Amino acid sequence: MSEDINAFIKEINKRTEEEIRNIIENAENEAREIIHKAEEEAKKIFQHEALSRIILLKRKILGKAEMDGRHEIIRAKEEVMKKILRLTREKLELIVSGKDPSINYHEVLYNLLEEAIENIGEQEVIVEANERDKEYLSANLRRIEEKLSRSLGIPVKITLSEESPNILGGVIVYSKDKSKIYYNTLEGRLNETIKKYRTILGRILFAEFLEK
Amino acid sequence: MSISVLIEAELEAMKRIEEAKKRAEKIIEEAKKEAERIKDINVILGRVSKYVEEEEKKIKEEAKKLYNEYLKKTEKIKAIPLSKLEEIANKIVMEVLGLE
Repeated sequence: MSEDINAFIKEINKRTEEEIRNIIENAENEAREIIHKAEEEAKKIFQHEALSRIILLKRKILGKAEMDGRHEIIRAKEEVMKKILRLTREKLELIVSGKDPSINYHEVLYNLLEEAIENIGEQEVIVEANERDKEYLSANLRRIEEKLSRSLGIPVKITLSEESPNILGGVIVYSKDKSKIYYNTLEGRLNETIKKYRTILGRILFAEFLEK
Repeated sequence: MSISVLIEAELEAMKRIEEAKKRAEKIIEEAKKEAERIKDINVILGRVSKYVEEEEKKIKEEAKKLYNEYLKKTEKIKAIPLSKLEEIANKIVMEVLGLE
């Protein structure tokens, strides 16, 4: 009888141990699951928050570096353009003052005048030029008118304006009633040419040196 | 006598099981507290701040490299020889004078 009771008690203890183990194991599993879910949730929040901040930082910091860098390039290109412009002006100054024997400025002046009158399309015109060029035109007016008349095929009559604009060279030509005007000054032509060269230089020269 | 021993054993077993259940509840309770701590937005944002601080250092390094690349290009532009600029100036002069 005592042995049977002992066996029962053993059985009770065994079942109890098993149930306790199950209870604890289940609880531990549930606890792990709770923590795992929390970690996943925290990870998502972390990633979302960190990514948003990093994207903003990248935009701000890299964007500024990029912008500063581009400004440096633009400044360097502007410096080069200024150098070219200075060299060009120096060369033009030499030419208009007759100090460059390779170019006859008076021929150039005549051509600028011819182009302007041709574009105005009138026989009688008023011409503005700086003091130096006006002096030359005045001294050679008859000869220039004849030459223009021959080349344009119309009798050209030039009146020199009393105005003497402060320009490097070239002419400003008006129709007699001043309804038409054609600017053929060296400054104007220089500006137009520089505009054109700015594009060409950006595309060819700078690209060539940047690739080196 | 024998039945009372068995009843006692059963009661003891029930008591131990109840204790185990309480332990289990405590384990889950602790886990929930730990989960709350893990999900605490201030804790997460604190970690984010530290992480972003480290990343910011890397981004700044990257930005420095990027800027230096531009500076290299700038140096190349500045180093265009004067003879090349003279050549361009001559072409412009010819075009301005209508002699091109």
